[in-house]
Amino acid sequence: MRHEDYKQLLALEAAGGLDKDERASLEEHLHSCEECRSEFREMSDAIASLAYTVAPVVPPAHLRANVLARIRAAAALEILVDPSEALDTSRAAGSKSDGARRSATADVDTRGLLGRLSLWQLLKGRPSLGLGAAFATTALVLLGITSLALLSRNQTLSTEVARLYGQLRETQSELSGQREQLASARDVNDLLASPGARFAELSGKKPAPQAHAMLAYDRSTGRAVMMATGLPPAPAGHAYQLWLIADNKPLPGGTFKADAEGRARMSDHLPSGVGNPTFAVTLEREGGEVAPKGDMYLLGSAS
Amino acid sequence: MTARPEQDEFDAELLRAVARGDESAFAQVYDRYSPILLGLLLRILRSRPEAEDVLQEVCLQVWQQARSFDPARGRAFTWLVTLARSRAIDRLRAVDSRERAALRSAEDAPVEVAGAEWADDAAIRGERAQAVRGALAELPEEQQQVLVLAYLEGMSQSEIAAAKNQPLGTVKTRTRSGLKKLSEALRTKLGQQVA
Repeated sequence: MRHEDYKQLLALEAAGGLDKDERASLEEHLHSCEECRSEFREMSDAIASLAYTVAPVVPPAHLRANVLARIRAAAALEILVDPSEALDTSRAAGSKSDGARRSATADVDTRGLLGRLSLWQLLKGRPSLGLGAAFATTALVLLGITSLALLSRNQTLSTEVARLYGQLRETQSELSGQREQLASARDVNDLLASPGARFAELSGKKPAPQAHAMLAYDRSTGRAVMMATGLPPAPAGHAYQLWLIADNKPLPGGTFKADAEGRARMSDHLPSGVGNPTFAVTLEREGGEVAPKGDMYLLGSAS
Repeated sequence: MTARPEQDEFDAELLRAVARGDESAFAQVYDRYSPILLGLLLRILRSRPEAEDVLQEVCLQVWQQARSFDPARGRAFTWLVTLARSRAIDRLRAVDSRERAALRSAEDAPVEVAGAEWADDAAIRGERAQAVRGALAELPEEQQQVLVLAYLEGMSQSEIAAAKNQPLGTVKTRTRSGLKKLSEALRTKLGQQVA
């Protein structure tokens, strides 16, 4: 398309009337054409100003509180799930190419060994030998050497195969760890964007006043995600447990532990449909309890 | 290009702060623009609960994508309105048309228009709204119509052609001429004060 043709598309794109292909092609042209960029900017500003002709409507106050809680939860999530780590597949790719390189080396070694030790080659190298006793003895000796060499080669290859399997397992578990991390980040993002999501800020109680947590709860599905900081390490045989308190009745959630820095992140499925839930975290025995028995570490209500 | 007016500079600075994770800057953006955005969403979606849902989604998107705002491509206001409008249109297309027809008739009740708490910037906005209405009124009616249908009703060019029983080429020509005239008229009316 020529510059003049693109100019014809500017107004249609600003008015939101271009299809995907036309838009992609125009985008490309805009990168390289200052004149069109400037005209497009002016047209976009002009058409967007039509929004001024619509009567403004003040959103209800609870919506502001909900939006602010939501972005606070998103910010807490960004700190705890470092997207650069979750999305960085270069480490896995690095391991893979490293593995491939090692496997290529092993391949060369094997071929070298085969080249050096082929029985056929050994026999071929002695064409003057007849079928007499000397040959038989020599052949037996050579066979013995070859067998030993083959045994040793077999062992070398077995060790190499075992090592490569080990590496493969490591890479696979690393990849599945990263996949899980990504899936959980996506999960949380879905939860944050869900219209039924409610947010709660939990503050530290007496045993750990410095503790703090953000919790997102989807009323329609019961899905919940919590990110906590400042929790002391749980003593052996104990774990933290999340509770959903509905009408003063605590309903048990899952258990979790904090890392060495006192941070914890957990996803849970809690009872759904609770309108104004309160959340608490207590310290319980490792398997969790059906009713809270231990000290309360965190408490907060949904906005 | 004319110099960016102060107001736009301020908005752009707010979005840059949001991109750095500044919550109070986000709250300011929300307070300044949520009434306009909710008004727009309500106009496109014709359903208060849906408009409020989409407004929340848009806010989260603003928080997460503020770093993609590029002042060289338009005003901060344009960026916000474009985000809100595309979300609303996605939502509009996702809902079955029959369901939508029922929603539209059910939601014709009057809505609460921005009141005193929004008065801070109301003078500037009132001035702009007046200028935009004036600029729009200078356009021939058929051009006004295509712009409003395309932008505020979220209709595609072919949908407008079908609805108005006009050739697609005519609708496209009207969109082009209309938008060209609108931006010229706005430039004259608002000049360097608002651009």
